[in-house]
This record gives sequence, structure tokens and C-alpha cells, in this order.
Amino acid sequence: MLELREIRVGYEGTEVVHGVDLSVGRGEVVGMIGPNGAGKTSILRSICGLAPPTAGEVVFESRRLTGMLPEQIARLGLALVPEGRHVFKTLTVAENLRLGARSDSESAASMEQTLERFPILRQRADQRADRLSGGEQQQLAIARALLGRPKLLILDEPSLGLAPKTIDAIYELLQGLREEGVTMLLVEQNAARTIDFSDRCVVLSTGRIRAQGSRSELQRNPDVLRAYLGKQP
Amino acid sequence: MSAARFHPRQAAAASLLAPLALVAIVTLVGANGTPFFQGTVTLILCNLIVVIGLQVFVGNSGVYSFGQLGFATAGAYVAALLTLPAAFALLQTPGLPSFIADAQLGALPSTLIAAALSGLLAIVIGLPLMRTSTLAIPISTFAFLIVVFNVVGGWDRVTGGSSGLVSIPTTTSVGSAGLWAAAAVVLALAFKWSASGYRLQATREDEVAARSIGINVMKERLIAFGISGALCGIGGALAAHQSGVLSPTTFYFGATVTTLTMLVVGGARSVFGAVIGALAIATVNELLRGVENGADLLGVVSIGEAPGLAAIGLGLILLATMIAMPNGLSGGREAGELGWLRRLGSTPPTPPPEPDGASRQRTADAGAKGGLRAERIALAFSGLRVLKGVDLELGTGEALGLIGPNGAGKTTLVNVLSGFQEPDSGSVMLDGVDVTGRSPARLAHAGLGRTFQAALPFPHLSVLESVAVGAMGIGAGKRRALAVATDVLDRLNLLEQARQPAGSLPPGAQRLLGVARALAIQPRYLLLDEPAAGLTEAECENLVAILRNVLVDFGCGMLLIEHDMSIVMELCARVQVLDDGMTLRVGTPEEVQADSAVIESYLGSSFLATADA
Repeated sequence: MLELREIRVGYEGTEVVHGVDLSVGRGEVVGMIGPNGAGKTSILRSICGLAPPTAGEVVFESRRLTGMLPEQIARLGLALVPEGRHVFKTLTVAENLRLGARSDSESAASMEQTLERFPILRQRADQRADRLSGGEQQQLAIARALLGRPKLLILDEPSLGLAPKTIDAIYELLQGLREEGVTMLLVEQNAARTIDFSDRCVVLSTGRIRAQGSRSELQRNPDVLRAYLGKQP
Repeated sequence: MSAARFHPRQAAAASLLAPLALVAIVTLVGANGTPFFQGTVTLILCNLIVVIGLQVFVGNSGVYSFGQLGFATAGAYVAALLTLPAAFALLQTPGLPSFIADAQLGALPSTLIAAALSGLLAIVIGLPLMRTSTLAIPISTFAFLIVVFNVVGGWDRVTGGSSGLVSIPTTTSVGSAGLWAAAAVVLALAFKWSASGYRLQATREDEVAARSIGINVMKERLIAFGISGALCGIGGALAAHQSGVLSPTTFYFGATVTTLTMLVVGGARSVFGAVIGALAIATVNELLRGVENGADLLGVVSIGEAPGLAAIGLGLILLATMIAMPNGLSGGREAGELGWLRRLGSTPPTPPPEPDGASRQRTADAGAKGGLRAERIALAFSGLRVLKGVDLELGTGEALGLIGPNGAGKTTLVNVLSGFQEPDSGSVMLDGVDVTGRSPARLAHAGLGRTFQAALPFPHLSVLESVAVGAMGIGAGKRRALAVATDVLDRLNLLEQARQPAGSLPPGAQRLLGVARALAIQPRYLLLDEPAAGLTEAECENLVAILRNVLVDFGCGMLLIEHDMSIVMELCARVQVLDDGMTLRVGTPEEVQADSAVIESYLGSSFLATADA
């Protein structure tokens, strides 16, 4: 469904991602983990057209995304739930959701469906988004992304800055989405949980893939620990 | 004479002489024109002084003030009232105290008094206003402008009220305005290149980083605000003595917008920009005004009257300039920093001849008294407990690694130690003194340096200036700061790039520059937040070698947040592991790396097998 071929990403002449291959199949949940500075967010930005790759290509459903604008890419069915949530703070929950919907005609039905899935958002529909807790804002950001009926949901650090219990709730929600067949690319620094949750994980550090595979494969691979704690003595 | 300088001699000379030459040319051209033309040029020069005054505050602080023309008004009225002939004074300002009305000073003393009083007014007004935030200053200064307008307009018996003053002696000539403008150029450049000027520019470039090297943002802004007020007062005084008339609207909205536009179009960061912006816009304005009244172009096409042409034309020119040159005509650079001149003297500065023992004196005589100690630090953000009672101890001369998975609270702990975050409970002791809750600037003065996860460079300062301002931040004079900076840059292998703008360095070098800047405050304790994140392997090796030298040469205590154990092992004898806001382990790197609880905190319990294998 989504394929990255040898992509390189750089800013002002300095390369931060040095040739990364990655593929996500339909219905698959792929995790991308690694320590600070590994290049995870840069890869996401290049997928979404926010920082076009300097080399290599991004292909989504056999269409090249390279050179397309972020809004064109979003319209193809790639939804990004950004790090730090970025809900529209001064708008109400309902207004936030309406902005996520593709068109007014579609919105009524899908809005109902979404509120079914996120009961807390129904309760809070008329409250301003900045009155919600961090976990609720994260739910709102995910709900807003889902209203665009994306084919691929990309989540950047959904557990960032949340209390452990709230993280549990968010992952429960994501589990529900996965059971419905939603394809996901999950980017996290929270390695343990991501490895447990994903079908397959890619471990990055300093712009390169250091290890990848299923949970059991990663457990046998000493490179994973090395990516986090550096070279063994 | 020290061998090293902030600006190569030729570049400094060019930066000073180019704006002075422009002022001289305008003055000479004006002096040889008709009396009417002389008047026009004199007013342009008065206006230039006000724009230079604006540059001192706005250009160096990066904070917009809409109130500086209020100081021009103050200066103009002070000068006018001190010089008004007795008969006119009695008629227009009957409420004026007699010692002022009878003063009838000459041009020079009245201008000097106007400068002093408007500068004093700026200090008094600035005391509360500079305490407001970067975003609030434009609004509060704007309110000040309106207050001045209303006071001057309403105080009929002293100021002549809204109808203004007439018959002010017209003592300002093209020559005297030109001399004052030249003096303003020299003063503005002298301030920009003073220790105080550099500290203020650092706050413009990055307020957080500036505070971390000991700079009191409010104080530096206030100093510039006062100087700016005095210069604007001089401009106002001279203008009043040129036109002979003055009203509350002379220096109000219109003049505020015009002078700010001149500064921005010229390039606010440089005095050269202020000069070319003011002169260019004034020239275009005069030309368009000529065309507005009908003109023949080269005798071929003749245009009729076109009212409003000047305003429209000026608007279009401004728009085009701001789109094509967002940093202004000068690019925010002084004349000596422009590309074709820069080559004149781009040789790196020479390091100080003999090793500067004094620079590390402070580290040497410390040590004995207890180190940096945090006790039971707890902190919560909107209910989420980030730190749950953490202890930490760091002595001088040792390096302590601080590791832990994302979200463990490492950066928050460094923020507490360096004063950027006040803990809910617990205390921070620096060499036996309780410093909990002290500001970052005060902690920097007490010997605590830090870097940030992002490099936070001062992009428009040179590498040399960026580091020297660290020493200035804790009170060093220019010469001393220069010696410290060249010494630090030499040790960090950055001396070759000393003259480059800090913003032009590659990211790896910018991180190193962040370390250099923190070292320039000669810290006894240095807190480094992920200095190696995102660096290439070669850059990492370089960093490790440099940090090892720093430990030996500077003898400070070093706290190193770092994921890569190979770096931690190279430098640290002790490692403290944080997890979920608590200390999980303290031990040698080897102990910590093999510790099952540590591995579990990073990767979950299922990974323990890999560690054993």
C-alpha cells in the first residue's frame, strides 16, 4: 500500500535520513521506533509532503507522492495524527470534527459513527478543545483524522506526554481500529509498547534502519538494544 | 592592543565609514541647494536620527516599539519651550514656569537637555514596560504614544495644547543636523558593539539561550530603550528647531509608521540599514511628491497632477522590497559585513598568546564545597507527575551520565537544576547554597552552564560573537570576553569558522557551538542535554574527544544526558538511570548496561533474553 524506496531526507544540506526502505501492506500495523534524533519524524514529514525526500521515492497505491503538495497527499487517503495532537484549541469538539470530515453530505453519517466510537467526545461535543485533557485531545485528533476516511492512518507519538493509564486507553482504541482493518503506521519513542502492539517494527537510529521484524524476531536481535543503548562494550 | 578583534580592522572601519559617508554626502548636497531644499534635507536628517534611535532598541532587541516617537515629541517640546522667545512664550504658554520661559537657551544646550530628559523619561517609562513580555511591549509602547499625545494636546497652558507652538527659533541648519546624525551613527554602532549591545542582540536571537548564559533580558532592553529615547529626543528637538512649529501630531501615528517602515526596509538589525532605509525612502518620497504635482519626464511625456501618487508609489515599493528582500536593503548587515567587503579581512582571529589561566580560576578554587546537589525533586504538569522525588549529586571534575527512556524526566530534571522550571518540592544546592527557584540568569552567574536538545544558535551573530557573549553574559568586558571566546573556540577546533555567521554552520558544528557558548560562562557545572543526538558517527567521535578535553582543561562537573552508551562509557564513571520520574539505578556504565531493570525500562520485559545472549 505504502512503499518508501531508498529515501534520503536532509535540511539545509545536512542529511538526516540516509536511505530508508519501508513498506506497509493493506491492513497491516507497522511500528517505527528509535531514540531521539533517529529520523522518525523526518521520514513521516517526507511521506506527507512536508519535507520532500532529497533522493528515493514514496509510492502510495502505485502512485508516486514525490513532488505532490501535502494537501494533495492528504486527499489520496493518508491521514497524519501529528505529534503534540494539534487540535484547534479555541473551537469546540464538534467543530474540530466537522473540519476533519470530507464533505457536509458525508459528515452527518460518519460523524455519528465516530461519536459512537468515541463516547467521551459525544459528551464533550460543545466544549472547547483546549478544555479537554491530554488523552481526550489525543482521541479528538485521532477522531478528526478518521473522519476523512483515510486508507492509511499515520500516528506520530500518540503516547507523548500522557499518563500511563491514558496511554492504555489510547492503545485500546487503536486496537479497536486495527480489528476493523485500519492500516496504521505508528511512530513512537515508547519502544516496549510499540513492539508489543505492531505486526512488524522498524528500529531506526541516526537515520538508518538498524533492525526490523516481528516482536519475536526483534527479541532475538541484539541490534535493537544497541540502537537504544549504543555499542556494547 | 589585543591581537584578536570582533571585526577585522578593515571591516569595522567600513561599517563605520559607509554610513558616515552617506550622511556627509546628503549634508553636502543639501547645504548647496536652495533654502527650501536645505529645509527639506535638514528634516530628512532629523528624521534619520529618529530612525537610528529606533534601530538602537528595535534592531538590537528584535522587539517592536510603537512608542519611540513619544520620546521625539518629548524632546521637541522640551527644546522648544527652553528656547521660545519671551514674548511668544507669554502668549502661547502662559502656564509655563518662569525659569523655563525665561531660559531662552541656545540651540546646543537645549538639544542636550532635550536628549537627557527624553532619555530619562524612557528609563522611567521602560522600568515597568520592559517587564512585560516580548509580545506585550509593542502594545504597551503604543499606549504610551497615545498618552503622550493626549498629555501634550490637553496641557494647554504649558504646551500650547492641540493648536501647537509657533515661532520656535529656527536654529537647526543642514550642517548641524548632519553633525548630529553623524554622532547618532557613531553612538548607535558603539552601543551595538558594546558588551551591553551584544547581550541585547543575544536576547533577540534566542531568549531562552540568552538567559542560560546569565543575561538579564529586562535590564538589557531597558538600557537600549533609554539610549533610543535620548536619540529620538534629539531628532525631535532638531526638527522643532528646523520648522519653527510643533504640534502634538508632528510625531504621532504617521511619523511612527514612516520611521518604522524606513527601519524595516533598510534592515533593522544594522545601523547601516537604518541609514539607507531612511535616506532611500525619504528620497523616493520627495521624488514622488514632485511627480504628484505634475511633471515632465525627460521632456517627452508630461504628467498632470496625480494626488495620492506618493502614498501609492511608496506602498508598492515597500511591498516589493519586503517580498524581494525580507531582511531589508542591507540584509541586516553592517557595511563591513557585506559580501564584497567581507573578503577584506576574513582571517580567523589568533588565540590569546599565553594560556589564559584566569579563565579557569573559578573552577580551580571551587570543588571543595559540596558540588551540585538535587534533593527529592518533584514536579507535576497539569496532574501528570514527571518527577517523583529525584536525588542527584554532581561534583566538579567528574562526569555523570543521565540516561533513561523517553519521558523518564531527564530534560525536566535539567530544567529544574538550571532554573528554567521551579520544582513543586525538593531543593537544589549549588556548592552548599540553596538555589531552588533562582532564575536561569542568576544560576549562570553562580557557575551553572547548560546546553539544550536543540542547538539554539544566535544565527545573526558571528561564531566568535556568539561565544564571547557567553562571557559578557556573566559580566565580562569586551576584551576579556574576546580572550575567553578565542580560547574556547581554539580548544573546540572552531577557530577557523570564528568570523562566520553562527547560522551558517552545519548542525553538528552548531551543537558544538552551543557547548562553546556554555563554556564561555566558565561554569563549574555544565549540563549537556543530548549533545550527540542526530550527529554522524564521525561528529560523535569528535564530540567525545572534545568533551574529554573539556573535563580535563576546565575541571568542571559535567552532567551528560545521552542515549548512546558508548559515549557515556567514554566519558562517565557514573551513570544514573531515570525511569518514570524516579531513579532506577546509579552505577558504572557496565553495571547499568547489563541491568535487567534498565533494559526492561527501555524495551519491556520480553527483551531480557537478548541481553543475556
